[in-house]
Amino acid sequence: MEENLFKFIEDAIYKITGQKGLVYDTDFVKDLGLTSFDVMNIVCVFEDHFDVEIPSRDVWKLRRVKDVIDYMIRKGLTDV
Amino acid sequence: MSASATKKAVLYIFNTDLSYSTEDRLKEAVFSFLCASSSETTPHSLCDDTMLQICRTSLGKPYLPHLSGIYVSASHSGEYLLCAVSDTKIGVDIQRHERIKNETEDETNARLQKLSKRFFHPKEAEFITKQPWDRFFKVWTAKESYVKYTGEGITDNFMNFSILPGDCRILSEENDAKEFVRWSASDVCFHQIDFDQQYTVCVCTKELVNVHICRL
Repeated sequence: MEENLFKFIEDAIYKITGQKGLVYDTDFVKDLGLTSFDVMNIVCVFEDHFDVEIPSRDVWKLRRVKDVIDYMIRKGLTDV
Repeated sequence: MSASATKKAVLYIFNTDLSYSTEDRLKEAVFSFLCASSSETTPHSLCDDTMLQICRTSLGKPYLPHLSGIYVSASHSGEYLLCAVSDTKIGVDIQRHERIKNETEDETNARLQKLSKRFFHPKEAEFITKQPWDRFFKVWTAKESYVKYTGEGITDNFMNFSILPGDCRILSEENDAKEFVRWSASDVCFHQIDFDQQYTVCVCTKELVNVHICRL
């Protein structure tokens, strides 16, 4: 399951930013240089797919790919 | 610039270079700001590296623990890193005007309107329905500069305030398109800065400031 979630995240980031080569420890800001605008666009991709609203207070805690995977599992957002 | 603006702000523009951290660039910007403000003939005597130490609050806002009265803010997008230094509290944001690959103009406008309905105040979302491409970045950078000014960052409160000049306090300047470029709202002043057509830059301060641009 984690591999599918990873692929989903990778595809979402590629769609918005054109960046590839993520690993589980990839930091969105330090490694990918994502801006807040990028993050908001990516959040919308997630929200559209799962038909949920992700609170901003949750978004800014998710600094790495593995943080997002853990969050998706906790919230049951696994149907990718 | 208005004669009533007594505070000073300088926007230092750096080209993105991963060999330098944001902290490195902020120090460089602060040093330049102090040199320009100082009457000393030997700028290096102004301060040592300790005085230029950059710290961050728990929410990520940079500050200078050893230089009271000097305020900083930083933002990066695309090719640029901007460091704002001022003698008044400040927030800055820069955003490159980006389209997603293979996205049509209509799809871009639809995406921006969707983003605005999701993350902006309803008045702001309404504002961008006309000319979404230009107005979205105007609102986005103003809101970002505001939450950087306050130090709170983007929270669930982001959509609860409007940066639009609802009480018509447009501070005298308009650009060629008759769009306001300096205005007040939410008890602060916003300054939209032109330096690259592919980017929107906004500075937020408590009061009117003279904003200078400096490339380092």
